[in-house]
Amino acid sequence: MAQKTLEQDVTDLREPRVYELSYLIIPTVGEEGVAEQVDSLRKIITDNGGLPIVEGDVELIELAYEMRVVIENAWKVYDRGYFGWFTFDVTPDKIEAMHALLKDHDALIRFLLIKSDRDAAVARPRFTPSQKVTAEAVEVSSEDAPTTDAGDDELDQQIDELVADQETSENNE
Amino acid sequence: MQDYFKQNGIKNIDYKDVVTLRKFLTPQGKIMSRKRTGLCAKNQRSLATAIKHARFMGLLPYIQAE
Repeated sequence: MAQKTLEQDVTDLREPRVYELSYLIIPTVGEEGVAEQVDSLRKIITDNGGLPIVEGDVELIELAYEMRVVIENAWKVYDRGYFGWFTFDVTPDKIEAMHALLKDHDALIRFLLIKSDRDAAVARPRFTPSQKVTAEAVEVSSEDAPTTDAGDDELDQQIDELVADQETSENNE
Repeated sequence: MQDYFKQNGIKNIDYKDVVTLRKFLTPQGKIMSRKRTGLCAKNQRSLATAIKHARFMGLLPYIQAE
């Protein structure tokens, strides 16, 4: 009976399961470097026989607290990072190797590798960080800029009109 | 009191859904008791796990100044 359970355990290890990997990439890699780092993470998954199901957008977020990590043999403190996540199918026996590779990754502040399930993986596209630092803020400010310019133009025009009125009234006197 | 997650049809409590998770934190950042959240035991356990995962990933604070 015990042997049967053991066999069952072994086959369970060979049955693919859904896992979720979320990660924080160091902010110093920049917008261009992030895509490269995400590709390297995806490669770790696929090299270990993983099959990505859903992939979340990578976003620069402000962390809720400062994280102190050793990157390139030096302690570094980060208060923001690129957050992203994958859900993927993989056999449980590959998880340990994957974990070791992720631990050695140079550009990661932290990562979380947890069991998930297919329904959860598909039905949760929502990442709603309250402290997201995105380009939206920049976009908003750039959108604001033309309106303020327009305001300045209007002001200039009004000033010109006032000056012109004053000049004409002075000439009449 | 009805379970928030049952009421809203949320079957899987996601650690990335910080806006929802924040509803169940005290101003100090502690996880509210089941007495205050009104959740069923199963969802209270999932909520605690989700909050702990979110804290680890820096999405939520461990402690928060009032």
